[in-house]
Amino acid sequence: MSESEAQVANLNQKEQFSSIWLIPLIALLIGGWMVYQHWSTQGPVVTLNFATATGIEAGKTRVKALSVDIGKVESVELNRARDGVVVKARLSKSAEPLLNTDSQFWVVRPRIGTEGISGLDTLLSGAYIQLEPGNSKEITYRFSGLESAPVTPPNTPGLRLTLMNDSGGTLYVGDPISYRGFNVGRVEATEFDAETRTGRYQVFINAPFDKLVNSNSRFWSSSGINLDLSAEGVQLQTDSLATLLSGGVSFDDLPDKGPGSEVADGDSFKLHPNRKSILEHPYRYGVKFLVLFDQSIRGLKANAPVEFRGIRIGSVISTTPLDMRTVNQGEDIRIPVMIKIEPGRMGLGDQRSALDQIYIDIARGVLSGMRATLKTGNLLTGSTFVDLDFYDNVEPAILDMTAGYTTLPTIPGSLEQLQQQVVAVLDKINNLEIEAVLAESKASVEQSRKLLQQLEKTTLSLNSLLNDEALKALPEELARTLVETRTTLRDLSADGPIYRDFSRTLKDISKTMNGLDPVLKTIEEKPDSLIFGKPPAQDPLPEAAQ
Amino acid sequence: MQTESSFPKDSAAAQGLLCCHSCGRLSPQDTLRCPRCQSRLHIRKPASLQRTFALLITSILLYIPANVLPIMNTEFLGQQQLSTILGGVLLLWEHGSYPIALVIFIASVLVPMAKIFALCWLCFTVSRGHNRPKHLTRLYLLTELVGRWSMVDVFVVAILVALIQLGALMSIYPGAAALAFAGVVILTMLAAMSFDPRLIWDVTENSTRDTDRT
Repeated sequence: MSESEAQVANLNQKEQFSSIWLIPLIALLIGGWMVYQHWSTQGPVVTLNFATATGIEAGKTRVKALSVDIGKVESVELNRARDGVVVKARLSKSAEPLLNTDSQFWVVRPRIGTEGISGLDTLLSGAYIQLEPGNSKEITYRFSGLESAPVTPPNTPGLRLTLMNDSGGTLYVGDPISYRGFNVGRVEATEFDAETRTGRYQVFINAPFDKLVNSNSRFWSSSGINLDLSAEGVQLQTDSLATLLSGGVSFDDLPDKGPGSEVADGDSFKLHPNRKSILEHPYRYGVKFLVLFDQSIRGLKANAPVEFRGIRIGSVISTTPLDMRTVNQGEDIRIPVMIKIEPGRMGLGDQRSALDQIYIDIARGVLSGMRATLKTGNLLTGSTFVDLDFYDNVEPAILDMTAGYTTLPTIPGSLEQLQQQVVAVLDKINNLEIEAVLAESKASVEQSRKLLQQLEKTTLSLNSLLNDEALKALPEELARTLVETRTTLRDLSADGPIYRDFSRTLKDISKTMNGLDPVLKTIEEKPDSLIFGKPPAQDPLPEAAQ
Repeated sequence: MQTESSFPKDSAAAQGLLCCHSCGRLSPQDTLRCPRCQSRLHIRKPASLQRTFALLITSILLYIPANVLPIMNTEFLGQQQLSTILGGVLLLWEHGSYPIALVIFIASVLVPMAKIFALCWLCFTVSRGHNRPKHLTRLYLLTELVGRWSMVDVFVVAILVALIQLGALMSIYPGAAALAFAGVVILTMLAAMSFDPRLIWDVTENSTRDTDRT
């Protein structure tokens, strides 16, 4: 029994399949399960492109979403062009739905900027990569990482706009957007398009304030101090101290206009260099005209007003729009100035359809004597503006074409005329013999002074005379005399005896005179008759006998 | 039966005797239990080659995670640093600590691998009946000698984990590889124990006898 058992044991030693094989089997199963578990829970690998790998370490740097650890960087390599790094990060499986096409990755490092200090917690723990999930439904595994945290997270409600700027002004990412002094948004991205030479700024306006933006909103750069010397005088304008230091953008509705239509996400606006230029260019449409001046345009600047009888109807676009040679083919040299007349300023509505109407109006106006001139707007600064008005007795003209531009006829500017007039007046004044006049007038003054002195003396003596007692008694005596005179006159009257006597005497005299008359005649004819007496009267003879 | 031919003539088995594994008492082959210590008696260790093989394969399986997974997790000022065995060796070597790097390399890479390969070689040659007794004997002795040093790495981790616990400043935690490595060491020890060295000579003497015959 035992013998056979021993033999069986002995025999089976090589053929029996030992239960010890369960151990490697179990190890294999556990290992396999672990590997499977690892693979099945292993999430996707995302490829992130960064400009630099500062703070990113393969195998160490974490990927977080909302501060929750969702993965780890697996490798950091230079990209093929060697101008950036490719970071591969393994995310957990649960993070896969976060990899929307508009998700954003950026490296969180300690940062100190105008908008504050951030990422201090990474000083000790090291940088990590932040994932901000987007809204898109599509999933992608390739992202280009941002260099710094986006100014606004992708899910923030609000309005994203593009501002275009072609006249300088610097804006930086993170600069505030303010509406009447309140911070309502930030500049998200800046970009300069070398081809069109315009700066493009992406701005974001946070949710409750995005309703403030409408088609009548205008944006201007509110950085720094604006000192402006123009036809309208001197203006000094500054914004808040913060924007003075860091710059920023302000916007507001156009004055005297209601809010316009709503704007959509991604609409673009012009970024004006300052607030004043908004008032100068509040309109989008305008008709361009070329104006050729025969005189100096000194003092005329771009943006100077174009006025019609004191009402602004447009602006000067440029004072050197064309090459001088293209304009001047003849003898006379004229300075080209490009102006713009805006229908919005003339009550026609700021729209494209009004442009033709403006053109027709101007063409008609030119036929009936409308001309452009240069006028002085500010004598202090010497700045000028273009004035349109109707003039009589001008040479007839029409809207002309010069170098492809419609050209408005001009007449010499008022400034030149004024100057000439002033010079003429001054010349006349110069020619006056003022010194002689002065000497004369001095003598006159001297004489009149003497006269006055004498007059004063006379007055004094007159006064003393008047105060004399005798003079005071004079009226009474005068009255008495008058009474006497009256009685005397009564005697002399026709009824009076004197008169009668007198008239009788006169009659006597007249009788006597009559009697004397032949005597006198005789004496006249024959003076010697007084001695010889009267000759005897001759007989009258008929004339025929003579 | 064939038992006669499978053991060398001068061995105890060939003479109808067997040796107790525990106390070494010789008993007749028909005895089931040792009359002295009552343990079960076998002519040779039962399924020795199979057991050794199985344990070796398990240890090889465990050796993969032991090297791939981090053995130590160092947290220094909030920064985690995971280190594998080979990574630690390389790090020490780069830092210029050549002796320590060598010690760790020998203890945790060279020795277990040498042991696994040696045992594999022994099992393989024995099962195929190769005839190199002296060589194999020396290999077996070497395995026995070297095996007891292979736990150094586990000890190092255990000591560091126990010593360095400074909270947020610096802490060291054992990684999954430490467990796997301990498993490797234990399994190779068990494999070495389950290997019956007499099989070497059984085969050798068999073959020498066979060659004598022919």
